[in-house]
Amino acid sequence: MADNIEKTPRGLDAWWHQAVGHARRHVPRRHLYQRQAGAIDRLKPQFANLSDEQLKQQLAHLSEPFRRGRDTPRDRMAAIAALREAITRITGLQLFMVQIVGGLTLYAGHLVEMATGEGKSITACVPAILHGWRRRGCHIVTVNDYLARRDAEAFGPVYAFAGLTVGFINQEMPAQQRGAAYMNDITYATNKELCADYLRDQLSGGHTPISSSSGADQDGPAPLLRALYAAIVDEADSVLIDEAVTPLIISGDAANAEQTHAYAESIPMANLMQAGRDYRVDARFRSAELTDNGRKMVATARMGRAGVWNSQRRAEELVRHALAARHFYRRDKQYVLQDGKVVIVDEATGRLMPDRHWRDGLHQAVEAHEAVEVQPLKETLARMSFQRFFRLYPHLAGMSGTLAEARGELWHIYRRDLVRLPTHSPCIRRSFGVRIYSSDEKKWAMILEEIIAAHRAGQPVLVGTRNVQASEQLSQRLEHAGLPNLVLNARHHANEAQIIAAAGNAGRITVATNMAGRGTDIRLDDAARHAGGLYVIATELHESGRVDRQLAGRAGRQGDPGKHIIFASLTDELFTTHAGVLDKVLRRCAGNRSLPAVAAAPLIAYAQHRAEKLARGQRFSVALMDEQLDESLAFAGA
Amino acid sequence: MIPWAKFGALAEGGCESASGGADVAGAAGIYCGKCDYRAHGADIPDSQPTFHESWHRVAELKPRLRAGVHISRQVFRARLWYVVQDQANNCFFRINTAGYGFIGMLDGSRSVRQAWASCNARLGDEAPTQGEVIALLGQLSSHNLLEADVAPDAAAMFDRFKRRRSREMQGRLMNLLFPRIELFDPDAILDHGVFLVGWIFDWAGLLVWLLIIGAAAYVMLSGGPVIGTLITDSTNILRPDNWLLLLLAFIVDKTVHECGHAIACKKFGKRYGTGGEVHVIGIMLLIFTPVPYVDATSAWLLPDKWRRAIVGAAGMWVEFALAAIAAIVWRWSDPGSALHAFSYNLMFIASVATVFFNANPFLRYDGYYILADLLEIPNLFGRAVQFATYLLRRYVFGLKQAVDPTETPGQRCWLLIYLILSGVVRVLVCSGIILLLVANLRRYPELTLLLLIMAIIASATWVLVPVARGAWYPVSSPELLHHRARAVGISAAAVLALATGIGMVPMAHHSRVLGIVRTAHQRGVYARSGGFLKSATPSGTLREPVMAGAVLARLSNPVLQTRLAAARCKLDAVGVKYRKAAIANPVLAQILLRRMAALRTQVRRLSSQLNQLVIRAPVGGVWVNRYGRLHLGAYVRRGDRIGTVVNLSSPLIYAPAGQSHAAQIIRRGAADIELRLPGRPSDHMAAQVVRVYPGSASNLPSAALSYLAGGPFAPRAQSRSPTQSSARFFILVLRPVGHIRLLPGETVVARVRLADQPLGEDFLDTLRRILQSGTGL
Repeated sequence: MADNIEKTPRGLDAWWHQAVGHARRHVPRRHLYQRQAGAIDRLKPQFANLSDEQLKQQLAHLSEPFRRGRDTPRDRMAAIAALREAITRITGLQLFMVQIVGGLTLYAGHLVEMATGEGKSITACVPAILHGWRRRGCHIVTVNDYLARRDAEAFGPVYAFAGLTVGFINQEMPAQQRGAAYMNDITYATNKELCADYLRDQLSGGHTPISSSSGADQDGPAPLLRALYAAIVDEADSVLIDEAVTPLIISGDAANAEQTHAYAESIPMANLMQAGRDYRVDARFRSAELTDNGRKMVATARMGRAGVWNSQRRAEELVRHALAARHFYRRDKQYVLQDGKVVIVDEATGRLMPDRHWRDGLHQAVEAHEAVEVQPLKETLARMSFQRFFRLYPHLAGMSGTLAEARGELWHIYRRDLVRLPTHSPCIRRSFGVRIYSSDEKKWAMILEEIIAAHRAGQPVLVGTRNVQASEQLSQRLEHAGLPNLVLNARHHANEAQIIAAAGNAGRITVATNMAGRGTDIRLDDAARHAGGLYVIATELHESGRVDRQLAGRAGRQGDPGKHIIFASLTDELFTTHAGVLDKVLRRCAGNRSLPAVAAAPLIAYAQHRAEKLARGQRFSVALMDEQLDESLAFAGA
Repeated sequence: MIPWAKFGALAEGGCESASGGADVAGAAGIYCGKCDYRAHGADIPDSQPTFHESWHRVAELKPRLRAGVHISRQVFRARLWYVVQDQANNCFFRINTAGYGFIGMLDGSRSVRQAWASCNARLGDEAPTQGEVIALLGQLSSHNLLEADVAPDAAAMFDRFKRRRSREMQGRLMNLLFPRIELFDPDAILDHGVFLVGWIFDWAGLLVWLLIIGAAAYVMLSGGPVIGTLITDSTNILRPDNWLLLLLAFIVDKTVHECGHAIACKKFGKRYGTGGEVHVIGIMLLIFTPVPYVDATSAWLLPDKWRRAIVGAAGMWVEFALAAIAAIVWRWSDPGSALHAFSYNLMFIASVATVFFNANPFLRYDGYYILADLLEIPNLFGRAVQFATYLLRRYVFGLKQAVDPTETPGQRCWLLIYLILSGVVRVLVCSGIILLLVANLRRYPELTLLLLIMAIIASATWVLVPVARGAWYPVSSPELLHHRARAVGISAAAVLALATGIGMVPMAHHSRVLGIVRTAHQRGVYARSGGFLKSATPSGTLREPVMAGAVLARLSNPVLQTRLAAARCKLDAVGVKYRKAAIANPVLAQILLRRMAALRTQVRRLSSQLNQLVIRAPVGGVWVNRYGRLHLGAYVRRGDRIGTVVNLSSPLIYAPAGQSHAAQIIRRGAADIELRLPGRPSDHMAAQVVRVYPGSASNLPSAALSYLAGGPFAPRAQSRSPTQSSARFFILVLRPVGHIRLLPGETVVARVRLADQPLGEDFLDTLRRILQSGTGL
C-alpha cells in the first residue's frame, strides 16, 4: 500500500513497544481532561444567554480556526462549551461531565472506556464536529446499519446547527448514493462497509500497469471515499479486536468454478473414513489431518476420476475439508440454511453474514455436506485486515464499555492509549457470579427455574445464548412451561430494535443471541424498576471475558437497578476445547453438584485465557501476514 | 527467512554473507555468499494447500527476472538445478526444476496466473503450490532479482534495504572478533595478470610443484637427523619472544594463500566462460591479527565440481609449495640467523597450521567448501543444521508438516555424518578455546579484563545466543501451534534432565598437585672423636645399601693412642705404689686407690674414644660419603659430619597446594590419592595424607616447584631465593603406599580425588575462584 503505516513491532521491538505502552498507562490523562472539562463547564454562562441565531453564528466563528487547522486549546474549549449548549437546546439532553471528558479524550485520539449506558453515541458528537469542521471527512464507525442510520438521523440537527452535513451508509445503498454520503462532513457507517468501499476503490484504481497500452484503466469509476482522515469507532473492542480476526475479502467467481461437483463427490469419500484410523481432528483449530492410511484411501478412491481428482494433493484437500465440515461446522451454530443457501452466523454477535464465505472450498464442502446446491468457488480479488484499515486513519479514536482487557493488544497494534472513565451515576447492578454445573441438562433446568422465579416477581428477564440453536431450544422450553417469550436471533431479527427496546417492560422474557449486547438501550418501565430492574441471565461463558461483561452491561444502565448471573456447564464448548484436561478432571470430581467457586474461578480464568491467547495469536498473524506480504511483494507495487 | 515458515519451507538459505556469517568466519573465506534456493515438488507436506489467500496480490502480475541475472545449469547429486546469480550483489540461488519451470515461464508477457496454470498442467503434483509461488516471488524480489510491470513500492524496498543493512551491521557486531575490512577491487589487475601466473594451476604448475616438494623432501631427509631439531624447535614456536616472527610469517603465508585463490578463480573462470570475477580483496582481523581475504565466490558458477574444488584448494596448494621453499631455506641458512628463524616459522604456518585449520572441513575454511563441493551439497553446514532441526521437529516434536530438507538418501547419510562430527569438533574447539582463555587468565593476571571480555563474547556467541534461540523456539514458534504442549514438554524435560545431571548428580572430581619427594629417615653420620681420615667407604648406590653397624670410615688419632698408653703406664705405676703402701701406710693406700680409680676411668674413656674412630652406620640405608676419597688423611674434628645414611624405603612427598586447591581438599576431603610420576606413565601408586601444614607458607619445599623450573608457583619478584613464592600455599605431606621406588628430589603429581560433587556446583566454584583470583576480590 502506498499509504504509510507504521509496522506492527516484532521480536525485541515488540517487547520495547509493550514496555512503552505500559509506561504510557501512567500518564494521568484522565485528570488532564477532567480539568479541561471543568474549565469548559465554567464557560457555560458565556453561551447560555445567547439566542439560537447568535449561538449558531458563534459556532460558525469558532469553527474557523479548525477549518484552517490552527485551533488552540482555548478554541477547543470554547467550541465544546458552545456545542454543549447547542446540543442541550436541540436534543434536550444535558451533556454530563463524563461525556465532555470522553469527547476531549476521543478528540485527542485515545480510546475511551465508558460504562455501558452512559450515552456513548452523544459523546462521539463533540469530537466528530470538531473533526468535521476541518472539512476532510470524519467517519463514525458503528456496529450495524441500524445504529448508523439511527444516530445519523438523531444527531443530524445538531450537526446541521454546527454547520456540518451528515450522511450514513447502509448495506443496500448503490454506489452513487454512497459516494454522496462519503462527501458529507460526517459519515456514519459500519466498519465492513467502510473497508469494503476502500477495497473497491483500490480495485478500480490501484494496480495501474506502467506500460499499459490500454488507457481505459486510467479512468475507471470515480473513487467513493475521500482520503481517510478521522474515525471515531463506537464499540471499539468489537470492531478493532473481535472482528479483526477475519480480514475483509472481496471476491469474484474463480476461474475453475466448474469443478463444484467434486465437492459433492468428496462427501461420501469422507464418510467412509474413521476418526483415529484414517484421520485426526484438532478441535481448537477446526481442522482435520489425514493419516497415512487415510491418504491411501484417498489415493485408491480417486482412481479413474477426472478433473480435480487427478492430483493427490487437491484430492486430499477436498477430503480434509469434507471432514472438517462434518466435524466442526454445525447447522444453527456456525451457519443457518436460508433459501437453500448456507449462510454464516457470526459467532461473536450472532448475526447473519450473507456475503461471507469460508475460504479454500470449505464453504463448498459445508454446502455439499448439507446437500444444498454447491455455489461456485470464489476467488479473492482484494483483501484487507481491519487492523490495517483502521491504521490508515491519521486520527483514530474509539470508545466502548469493555476495553481494559484488550488494552495491551490495542496499544500493540493500533498504538492507542486507553483512558478509563468513571460512571456518571453509581452502578447498582447486582452480580450473582457464575454457576457451573456438571451437565447441560442440569444447567438448563436451573436456568428455567431462575427465569420462572424472576418472572413471577415481575422482573423483566433477558436471556443471552451463544447460538441460534440454543436460543430456540430455550424458547421452546419456556413455551412448554407456559411462559410467553420473544426470540431474537439470526433467524428472527426483523424487529430487533423494538424487541430490545421493549425488553425492559415488566414481566417480559427475551431470549437473544449476542446480537442484543450492543447499541440500543433497554429502558425500564416503572413496574420493572420496582421489581428490581432487568435480570440478565447468560447461559454460557464466552471465549472472551469482555463479551460476558458486555452482556452483563445490559442490566443496570444509568443508575437503574439490575441483576446479572451466568450459568455454565462443564460440557460447554469453552471448557471442552480450551481447558480439555482440567475440564475432564473437574467433571469427574464434580459428579452431579454444581462446581464450587474455588474451582470455578480458576477454570474460567484458564479457559478464557487460553481462548483469548489463541484468538490474539490469530489476529496478530492476520496483521503480520498482511505486512509481510507487502514487504516481500514490494516489486508488485502498492 | 523465518517469516516464510508459514507458507511452508519453500524458501531456504538466503545469503550467508548478508546474514553476517554467524559461524566462524573463514580466514580464507573464498565463498562468501552462497545462497541456496529451491522449491519443493517431490513430497507434498500436509500444510501446503494448493490455494493461497493472497494469490490475488500476484495473480495478474507479469513479472520477469531482471536483466543481468545469470542462470546456469548444474548437477548436484544427480539432480538438475539452476543456479541464479545476481551479478550486482554477487548472490547465488539454487532453484530446482519445478521452480525453474515456473520462473522460466515468467517473461514479462505471461501473468503469474497463466504461468502457474500451465505449470500445473505440465507437472501435476510436482508443480509449486500458490503459497510456494508467492514465497518464491517474494524471495526473488527481496534480492532484487525480479521486476514487474507495475511501479514497485519504493517505500517497502527502501525499508528492506535498511533492514538488510542493519542485519549486516548486527552480523558485524556479532563477529566482533573477526571484523572484515574491504580494501580494493583486484579484478582488473587479475584480468591482465592472470596469463603470467595462471600456469601454476596447469600441468606445468603441477610439475613445478612436485619438483619443489621433492627438493624439500630430499633436503630435509638427507644430511643428518633433523626431525629431532624440528620437534624441539616447535615447542618454542609459541613462546612470547617468537610471536612477532610468527605473526609476520602468518601474514606472508596467508597473502600467498589468498593470491592462490584469486588466481585460480580467475583462471578457471576465464577458461569456462563464467568470468571468475574477484571483486573484493580485504583484511580480516582474526583476534587482532590482520589476515587478508578475497571474495572468490564467482567460482561457484564453474560447472565442474572438481574445478570448484581446485579453486578452493588453490590457497593450500601454493602454501605447501611455500612451506617447501621455506624448509630448504631453513636447512641451508645459518642456525643463529633471523632468516633461519623466520623460515622455520613460515614452514610451520604453511604446513602444520594449514592442515589443522584450512584443510579442516569442520571449520568454515577451505576444507569445508571443498568438501561441500565434492559432496555436491552446497551450504553444507546450514543444510546439516536444517536437517538436524528437521529431525527434531519431525520426530521429537511430532511436527508432521516438517519438510525434509534433503533430496537423496546419500545426502541424508552425509549430512548425518557431518552433523555428528562437526558437533564433536565444535564442542572440542569451543571448550579448548575457553580453557585456553581461562588458563591464560591465571598466568597473566594483568590481562584479566581483556581475557574475561573475550571469554564472555565467546560464550555469548557460541553458547548463550544459540541456547536462547533454542529456548525461544518451542515457546513462540507459530508452526508449533498444534504441538506446543508436546514441544514445550519435551524441551522442558530435556532441560530438566540436563539440569539434574549438572546440578544434582555428583561426579568424581580430581585435583592435581605437584609435589616433591623427600626421604622420611635420613641420618647424618658424625665423627664422635677427632682424627685423621684413614679410610672411608665410598658412597653407596641404591643397589648396595649398608647395614646398620657397618664400618663407614676409620680415623686414626696418634695423640689419643699416646695418651692412652701414658694413662695406662701411670695406672701401672700407681698400682705398684699401692701394693707397697697397702701394708705400710693404709692412709696413703686409700689415696692411691682413689687415684687408680680415676686413672681407670680415664683409660676407659680414651679407649672408647679410640673405638669411636671406627665410624659405623647408625641405621641401614644408602651411605653418602661427604668427603669422598679425596680427603683421606685430612683431620676430622670431633662433631664433624662425614656423611649421611639415607633410608629410601619410606619416602614422604611434600606437595604445596595453592590456597584454592588446599581449600577444596580441606573442605571436601581427599577421598583417594593417586601418585603419577612424570615420565613414567605406566607407574602410579596410592598415597595417604600424613598431615596438612596449618596456615600458609611461602617457602617452597624445593626450587623444582617454582615457575622457574616449570612448576606452578611464580617466584616472588623481590626475592633472590627461588623457593620464595609469591603465592601462598599449604603443604600436604603424603606417604606413598606401594612398592615403586621414589627418589628424593623427584617431582610427583598427586591426583587427589575429592568428594563427589555435581558439575554445576563445581563449575560455580571454579568460576568464583577465577573471578576472585582474577580481580583480587
